[in-house]
Amino acid sequence: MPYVCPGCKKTWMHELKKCIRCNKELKETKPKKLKVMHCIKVIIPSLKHPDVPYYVSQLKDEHGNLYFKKSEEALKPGEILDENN
Amino acid sequence: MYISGIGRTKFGKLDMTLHEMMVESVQKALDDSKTDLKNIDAIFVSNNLSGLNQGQLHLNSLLATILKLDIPIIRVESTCASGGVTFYNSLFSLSKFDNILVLGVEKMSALSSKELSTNIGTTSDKKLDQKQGFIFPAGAAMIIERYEKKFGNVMDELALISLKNHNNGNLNKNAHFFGKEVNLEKIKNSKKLVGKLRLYDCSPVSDGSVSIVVSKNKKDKRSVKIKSCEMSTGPISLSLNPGTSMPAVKKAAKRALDAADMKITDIDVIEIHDGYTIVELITMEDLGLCKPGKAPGMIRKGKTKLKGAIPVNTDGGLKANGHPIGATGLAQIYELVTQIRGEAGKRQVKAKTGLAHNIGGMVGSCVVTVLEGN
Repeated sequence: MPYVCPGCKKTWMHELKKCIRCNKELKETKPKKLKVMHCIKVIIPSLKHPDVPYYVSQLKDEHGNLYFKKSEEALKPGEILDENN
Repeated sequence: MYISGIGRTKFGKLDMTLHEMMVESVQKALDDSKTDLKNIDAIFVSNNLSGLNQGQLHLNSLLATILKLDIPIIRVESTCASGGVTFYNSLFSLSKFDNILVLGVEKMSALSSKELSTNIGTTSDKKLDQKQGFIFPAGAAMIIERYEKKFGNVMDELALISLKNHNNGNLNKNAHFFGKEVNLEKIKNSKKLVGKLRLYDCSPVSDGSVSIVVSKNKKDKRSVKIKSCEMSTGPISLSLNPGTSMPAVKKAAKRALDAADMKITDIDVIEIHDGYTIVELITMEDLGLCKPGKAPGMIRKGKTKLKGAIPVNTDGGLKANGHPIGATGLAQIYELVTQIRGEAGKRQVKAKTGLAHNIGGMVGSCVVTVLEGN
């Protein structure tokens, strides 16, 4: 989940304790809605993901933050995932 | 700063160890430069995966052991841009040294595809990419989707890029796919790996090594001048780049062309890091060869072929020359030097200047180098 600096409002996708620019403590935020941008079927196995096929989707939250998400079923581009449910 | 010598192994599935490949490319580069090893002041080694693939790190000391040297030897890693980043780093040392050697090496073919896919995957973000099953071919497939959504179908043009690079590779006896007959039908009918991405849109798994001798002063008329070498970095995860353009590429290209006091139209031959055919296409736009959305038209008109207005990947590129990760960026420089010297044989183009584009990730590291002959 994204971490936001209350000072400069910059966002990090990695867990960092303080903002490197303003030295303020970062606040973890949870996206409410995620829009499916792309969904790609993967058939190449790796040691960490040996079972194929699986799907990797690119999601965008209401603040414009982007994520990858693995799923067993295909997600539909344009679909909105409600994280409260 | 001048390149006075180049040497390489063949690329492909080689029955050679890391040690053997390094020694072969070093020897050839020294011979080409007419420089004795005792006159090399420092060595820079580029490698990505030897720690994971061979369980062998500390390649700089390994090289010192093999070559029986005690000079400074430095190892650099920056995934697929390792060669370019090593070259970039090495040039700073010429304020101290007269002659240095830059070496790239990778051994990839001895692993299973599952192991190799896992090892290559470690160069993406562990949390954002690896845990979510993201692999680089999926990134290329996503870029194809985005590009087609924005500018229309592009798979036919990607097949033409693949064919061009295989044709060029068939004129390069050192290329991974030298001698392999490839046609459009074979490319278009090749297995779909991820989304629309076909097998023949991807670079192969290669072994190989390249060495370059760089000298502070011009050695002879075969020396090629390094006009500029510039770098840019960007986010490690493709999830953080939703576009059809790579900001780090644009920045590195602008820095390199500005530093060389040149425009892209001053460049005669280009090496693009075509790990995937879609990357060659979008990089044509990022380098300023054409406006966004216009690269497919250039491809259809054959403008990047050997006899086109701006030849791209005359050695076959990563697609057909091969992609031994740590050596790739230096192989691009090897080809530009060969072209600028007029020593490229059947694939020779008219070139006084050349530009190499070497990237790591999509795109976390980018190095653009501009070379010029006499």
